[in-house]
Amino acid sequence: MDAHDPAGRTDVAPYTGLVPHTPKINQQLARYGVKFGIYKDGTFNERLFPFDAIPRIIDARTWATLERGLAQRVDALNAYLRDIYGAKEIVREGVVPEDFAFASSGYLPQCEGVTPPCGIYSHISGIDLVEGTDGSWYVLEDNLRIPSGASYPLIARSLCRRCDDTTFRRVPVVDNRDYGRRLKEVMDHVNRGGINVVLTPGRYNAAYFEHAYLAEQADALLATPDELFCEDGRLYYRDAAAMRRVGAVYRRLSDEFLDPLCFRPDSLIGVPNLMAAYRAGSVAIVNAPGNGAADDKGLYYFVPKMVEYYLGERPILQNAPTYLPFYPDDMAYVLDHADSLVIKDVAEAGGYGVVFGSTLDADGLEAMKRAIRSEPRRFIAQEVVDFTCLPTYIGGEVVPRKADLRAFVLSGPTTTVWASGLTRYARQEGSVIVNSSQGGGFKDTWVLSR
Amino acid sequence: MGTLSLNRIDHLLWLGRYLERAFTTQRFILTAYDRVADRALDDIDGDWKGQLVDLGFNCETETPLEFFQRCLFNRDNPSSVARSMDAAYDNAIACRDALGTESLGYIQMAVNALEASSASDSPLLDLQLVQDNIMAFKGCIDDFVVDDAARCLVKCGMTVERIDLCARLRYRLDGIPHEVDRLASRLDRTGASYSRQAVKELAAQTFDPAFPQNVDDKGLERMIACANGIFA
Repeated sequence: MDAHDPAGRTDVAPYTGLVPHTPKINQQLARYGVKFGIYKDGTFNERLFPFDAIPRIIDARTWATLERGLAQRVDALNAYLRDIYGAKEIVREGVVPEDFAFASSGYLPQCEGVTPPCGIYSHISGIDLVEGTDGSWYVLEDNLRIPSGASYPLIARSLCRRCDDTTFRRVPVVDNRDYGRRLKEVMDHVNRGGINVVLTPGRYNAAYFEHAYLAEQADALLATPDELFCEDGRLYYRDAAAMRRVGAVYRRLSDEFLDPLCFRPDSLIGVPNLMAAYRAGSVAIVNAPGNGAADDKGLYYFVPKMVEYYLGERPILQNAPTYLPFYPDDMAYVLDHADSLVIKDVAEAGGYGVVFGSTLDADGLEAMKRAIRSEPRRFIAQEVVDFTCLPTYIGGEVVPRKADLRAFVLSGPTTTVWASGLTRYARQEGSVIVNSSQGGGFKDTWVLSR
Repeated sequence: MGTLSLNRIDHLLWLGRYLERAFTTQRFILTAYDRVADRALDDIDGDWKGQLVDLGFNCETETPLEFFQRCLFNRDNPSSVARSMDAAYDNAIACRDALGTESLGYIQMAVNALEASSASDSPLLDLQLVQDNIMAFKGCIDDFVVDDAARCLVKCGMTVERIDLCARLRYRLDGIPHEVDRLASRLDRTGASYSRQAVKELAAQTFDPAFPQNVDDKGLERMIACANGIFA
């Protein structure tokens, strides 16, 4: 087939062998139950996650920069979390304003003074990036709570490798299928004695496939909350024959539901006293509770400053130009330029709460400005990054579609970046909403070894 | 045995039960369809006629094919194959780490094949693919599931369900002693607690040389109660 590249690139040859197999690969993904759940009108539905066989390709040189930048960023974020729940020096020195840091909804006073095993808060970090049309990469968001998505390129790679015997021989793609082993390594590193479990809220969670698949890949036990219990300051798995002590729990449910005795008392999916066991140091929680204090959309603004403050280095990766209406100067700029900015509600996720000023009419724009004036902490505003389109095979032809990248950084004995990632693309022409919950598809991410 | 919680034991057992329900119901429907397809209801053998009427067949309002399609694909019918496959899938995916993605793929394919066959112009012919995938799953867990307890739980679930269904439908009763034999050889390997008394009673009934000729409705009811009492 003619795999011309409407994005204007010339390096289309590497993936041409895969493109004709796209429908078959998707059939195989359906065969393995690669799905995500979505609630609509109160009903749970599972959807297949459309896969495009044309990968995002990142050359070795670019990757080397991204890799260093991502590790640097996550190291700084981990340092911030240690500090904010400990000495709070960054606040004392005015780098991050006090009321700003502690007003974040992700900051949990219950985690004050608790240092997680090995001092690691964010073990699995999902950093969302886009490549601008000028070739620069921008970080759009840090996800330090329960970032999803690693399982999809992981399973897709295995299938792609079966399609075409020449592609992977010809193209020097770094093998990404060690994610399960690396996840295990991270869990083993902080394990306080006992088995590793992946804690899932259950079958009707949007990312349930991923929970189960990663448990299998990392040789951990998939556990639902009612299979875990705490006794004498320790966490146990309720085995039919005996109690099995749990040393590390990779939890895939939100902080507020984790322990009804510590957070939301109405949580039916938490494990009572889990936080007490965690505070006692008898179990590691991956990722640590309270990480929302650092991945709040508002805190994002300060991450480059954190890199300088904690690591004494210049940030390798840049943020998209961001304004905080919290600051008077930024407020004035945002109100003056609201029609050309993208405004994000810091409390929302999954592509929701994102408004492009250019799409609002006069009344909508005025309402948005009123909301910003009355709740400045709730919003951030960013310059619209014109991010690149990737060639995508849709409806029998290769067309350009906007795409982002979620890179995964694993913090264990060292901080490493998984040489792959989830590339999500918008299905609709011109759309920049790539979220799976809003109809986006995914691609594999190829990192070249040379 | 590996690490299995009570929940997990429950999921594995019910995975086996629902899968077998889907499988045996299909086989029953295919056999029954063959018996009635070209006959008026009055011309059908007594036993079959009773079973179909018990199952809700009404020759005045529907053709045999319509009736069987209802038994296969109608999700409003809790005994339909579609509902059984949905339930098998729900239990299976809760055990992905114990069963493995490879094995689970066959359940997913059986679900997909059933969905495709419901929209087919030859649905009964296409059921073969559903059965093939269920059979492949059975074989796959032998090969891929390392934990003997997990494997035995699924298989015990299947056997219990087969005994239950065959007794309810008075279908292939002569195969039940073999099922009881297989069940007895696996129960201790499941690591789950079970009723030895129920197994003993089941064995006494079915290992009788006069079985199944000597079994009446009451005997069948007792057999069903014993089968369901094993893991109760």
